[in-house]
Amino acid sequence: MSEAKAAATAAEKLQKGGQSAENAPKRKGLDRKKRKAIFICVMLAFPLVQLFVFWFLVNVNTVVMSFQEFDWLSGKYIFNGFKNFIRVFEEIGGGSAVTRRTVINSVLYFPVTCFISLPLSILFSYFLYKKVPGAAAFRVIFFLPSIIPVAVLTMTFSFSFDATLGFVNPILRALGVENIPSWFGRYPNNQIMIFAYCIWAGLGTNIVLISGAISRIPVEIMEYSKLEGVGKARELFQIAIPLVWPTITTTFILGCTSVFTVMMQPLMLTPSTTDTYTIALMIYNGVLNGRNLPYLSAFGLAMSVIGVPIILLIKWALGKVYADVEY
Amino acid sequence: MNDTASPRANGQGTCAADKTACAEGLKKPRFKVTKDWALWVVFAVFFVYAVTLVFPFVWMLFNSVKGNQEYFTNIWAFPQSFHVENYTNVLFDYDVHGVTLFGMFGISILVTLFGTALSLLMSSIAAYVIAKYKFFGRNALYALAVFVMAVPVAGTLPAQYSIMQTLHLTNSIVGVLILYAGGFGFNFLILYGFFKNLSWEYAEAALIDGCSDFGIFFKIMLPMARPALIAVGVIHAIGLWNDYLTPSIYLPNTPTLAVGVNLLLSELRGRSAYPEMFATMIIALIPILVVFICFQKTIMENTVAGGLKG
Repeated sequence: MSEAKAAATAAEKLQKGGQSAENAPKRKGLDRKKRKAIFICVMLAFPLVQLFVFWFLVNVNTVVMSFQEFDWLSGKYIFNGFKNFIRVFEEIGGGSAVTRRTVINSVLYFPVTCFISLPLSILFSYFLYKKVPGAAAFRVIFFLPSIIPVAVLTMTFSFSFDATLGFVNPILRALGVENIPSWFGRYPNNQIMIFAYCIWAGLGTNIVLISGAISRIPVEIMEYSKLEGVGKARELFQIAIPLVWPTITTTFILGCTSVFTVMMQPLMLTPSTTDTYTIALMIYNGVLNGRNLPYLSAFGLAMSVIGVPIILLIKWALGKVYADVEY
Repeated sequence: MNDTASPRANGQGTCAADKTACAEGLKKPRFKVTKDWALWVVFAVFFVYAVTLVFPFVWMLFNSVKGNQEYFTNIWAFPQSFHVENYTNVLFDYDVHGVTLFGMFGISILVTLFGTALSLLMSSIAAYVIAKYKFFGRNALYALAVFVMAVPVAGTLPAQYSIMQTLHLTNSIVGVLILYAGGFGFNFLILYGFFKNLSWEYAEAALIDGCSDFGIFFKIMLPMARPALIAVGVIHAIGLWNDYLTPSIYLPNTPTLAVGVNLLLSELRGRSAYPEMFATMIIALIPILVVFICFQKTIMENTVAGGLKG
């Protein structure tokens, strides 16, 4: 017994990490403390420099650039105060139809991902957990779009709806549907189709995340609820959802951030129109075409300054809905 | 009590119940047909959704080996003759900025392998040092790593591009690899958790034997972290393989498969070379499907841990 105690104490000491290594026998040359300091500095040098340049400097540069404009006379960027920000809000207010629509399109991704895609994912996950016949195969198939190259997936989707050579229209005609719309023709049809694509292709990751969380709920809880005669709806809404609430919160917040991040879907599905622009796509295309970088920085920053506090507020509010339960 | 109402009917029997069943010499039936009609309704919905996900690719696979004329004649017919040359044509004959699809594979493999290796190395270095060594600013660095991941800032792309231009890292694979070599992303958090829980006893023994801190990390800790590194690495590699944004901006003349395929598909669609377009899509799918088949469990389990972006 005492041996076990001694071993436990020794292990505890050892697990304190680098500090216990001070007790190691001294080597020739530098002492342990200096060698440890050199090791830490050398090892962290590149990761820290990378973080400093590509996170800190990039963010600082974003702020600096947003207060600048390119002076064609001197060929340099010069300070222009809040001009870029004023222009951003003037354009959103109606000065530019493209910018206004860009913001509206981006904001619409919030209800699409959080109030259509996410509830569907929760429902799908719950029934996968309930061992719907073929659950394991469905789980794998639903996940596939998450790993398929986006160029392939978007082309598959858009070509399926091709008016003359796709296979969706012939199927619809065979089912007796008349007046088939031009799916990717004009706004808002093309925007609706992008939303449809996002739902179709985007369920997989959420399903894997949420069904994984539901499967970690202790089986005793579900069994007890069954013995008590709890139905599926009540089991889902009053047991499963509260218990996996942190995962749902995370996916909800990821859905919120899609307002700023969605870019590939409109870029690939509707490459030749600005009608379906999003904030990220507008910035991306601007950078690619070497357009007004300071204005684009101000545009992104203004959206972040408005959006990030709202997202943090939503996160805080969601955290208050159910108490965090450990199991 | 009906069959489905019982926990065992749903395959969720308790250990105690299972033990009893085993004791009685009963074997669990491998397949059980549920009598719950609601589950069959859901099955029908799931089946339709699964078909919409799988059918387009099967349809493309069949049409990818047709001749152009044959495809235009009937998009539903089974191929009369197999035009395997559709595949060789798109692999070797078409090009984007002088790079064939075959060449794009090479660029993607290079970028993915080196990008993943660098990112894993930097993440594991940062995670190991911060998890195992006490030094000034350690907690601040950890908090910063979480903050970097948690707060989305839109519009940093122009500033990043400007910095990359200043550093002469645009249009360079090295530049892209440096961008990918961040040590403080999701990989850091996963590996930090791993190293935090790893016993220090091995290091202690190695120190006593005269091993240096570098030796401990590279010869003892890193090999021990292999399962975690493989799990994180596979997910990360898929992300890099499919990454469009970074290579499209910083490697405009050296297209990776993700970027080049998009341009090639647009070109083939413009030429109405549909079977070849389908062949391109199938070729682009094959590597990712092979990886998925080999590492399916790892990929899905690590996605549960929060590893893959939707």
